[in-house]
Amino acid sequence: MNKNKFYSFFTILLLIVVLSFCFSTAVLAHRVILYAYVEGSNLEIEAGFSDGSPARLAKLEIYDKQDNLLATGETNEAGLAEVAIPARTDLKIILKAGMGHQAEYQINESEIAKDFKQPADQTLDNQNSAVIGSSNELSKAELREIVAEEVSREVKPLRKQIAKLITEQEKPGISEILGGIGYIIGLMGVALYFISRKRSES
Amino acid sequence: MHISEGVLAAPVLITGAAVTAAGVAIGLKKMDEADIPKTALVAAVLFVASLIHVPLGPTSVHLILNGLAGILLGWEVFPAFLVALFLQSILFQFGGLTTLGVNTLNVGLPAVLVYYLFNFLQLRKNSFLETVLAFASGGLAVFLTALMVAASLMFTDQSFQEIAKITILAHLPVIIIEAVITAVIISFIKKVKPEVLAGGENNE
Repeated sequence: MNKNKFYSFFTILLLIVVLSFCFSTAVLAHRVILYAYVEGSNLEIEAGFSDGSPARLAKLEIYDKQDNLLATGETNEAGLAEVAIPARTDLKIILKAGMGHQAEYQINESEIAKDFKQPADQTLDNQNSAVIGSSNELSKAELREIVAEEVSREVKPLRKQIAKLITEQEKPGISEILGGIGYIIGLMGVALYFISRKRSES
Repeated sequence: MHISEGVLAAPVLITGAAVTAAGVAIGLKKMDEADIPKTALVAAVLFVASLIHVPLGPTSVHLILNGLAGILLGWEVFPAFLVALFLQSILFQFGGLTTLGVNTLNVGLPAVLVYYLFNFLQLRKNSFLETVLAFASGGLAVFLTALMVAASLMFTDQSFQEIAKITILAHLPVIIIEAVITAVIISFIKKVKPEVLAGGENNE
């Protein structure tokens, strides 16, 4: 092989790699990240791509352990969704962000409060509390509800931060990028080694 | 461009893997020792290219550069894409191991088609026309890839027309950008090292 030829070609392509690498640190793409947590009787769901942009208007499907479809939903413009918990079992959330992008997230049964309200009896409960609320005393259930509400308000920023941390962590970092390039160069080295050995044997 | 794990039905996955295996076999057979560094470097470019996100259009899309890779490598683009996509799936969790075959096929086959188109027309004498052809090849490869993604999804999702409309629309910015990149790089290589172009080696 003409050494000169190879080196100039090497430089050109390396330039392309380095150039693209400079762009790539700013914006990284292409994987859907899904994160969900329980808040009261709702599932709060966040969906985004690994470059940080939200997965807009993506379809959500919630399954139980036996893969029965329990509920569906859709994310809003900010990639967020709120879905009422359909049942107190292990839940599997599947996000379909179009063009073959799909992500999955599991919610354990233990994360859902024992006394979470089914979507149906929530309205009924509100009526009840309105009636009782007129008398000045708080029932145990009401107190629990108020405390739960306050706690979830306090915890919400924390949850948001955790969600952000998780998405940050799943972005491909510099070590993965350099590692991948290293593997490819290594493969080339192995191939060239075997060829040179074959040649010296013959 | 990376179809995730668990989206496609088994027949689609198996077909994709089988055709990709054939493509890789042809590519490895055609590869002689002088081509190894070239293939490896193009693979490195492809590996990094999909981290470049194009912030235009309705969804998140990224560069593919299969037109450029196809013109440079011919059939050897299949092993290059296989390695690049494999590393992307294990290091970045882009796509998945079960969909590796389908994803490689969706980018590799258009690349090979573009290679034949570029070399069949033999416009090497006229550098302006060749640049135009490189421009068209870069765009066409991404367009065909969008069509192939739609075709592989149609067995599981919506109708082909519906999904094809979405994928092509989403990749419109990428089609234009890659057409420009391919034209610029091919005309540059043509000026500096014309023998690097895969077809050129046979003519020497």
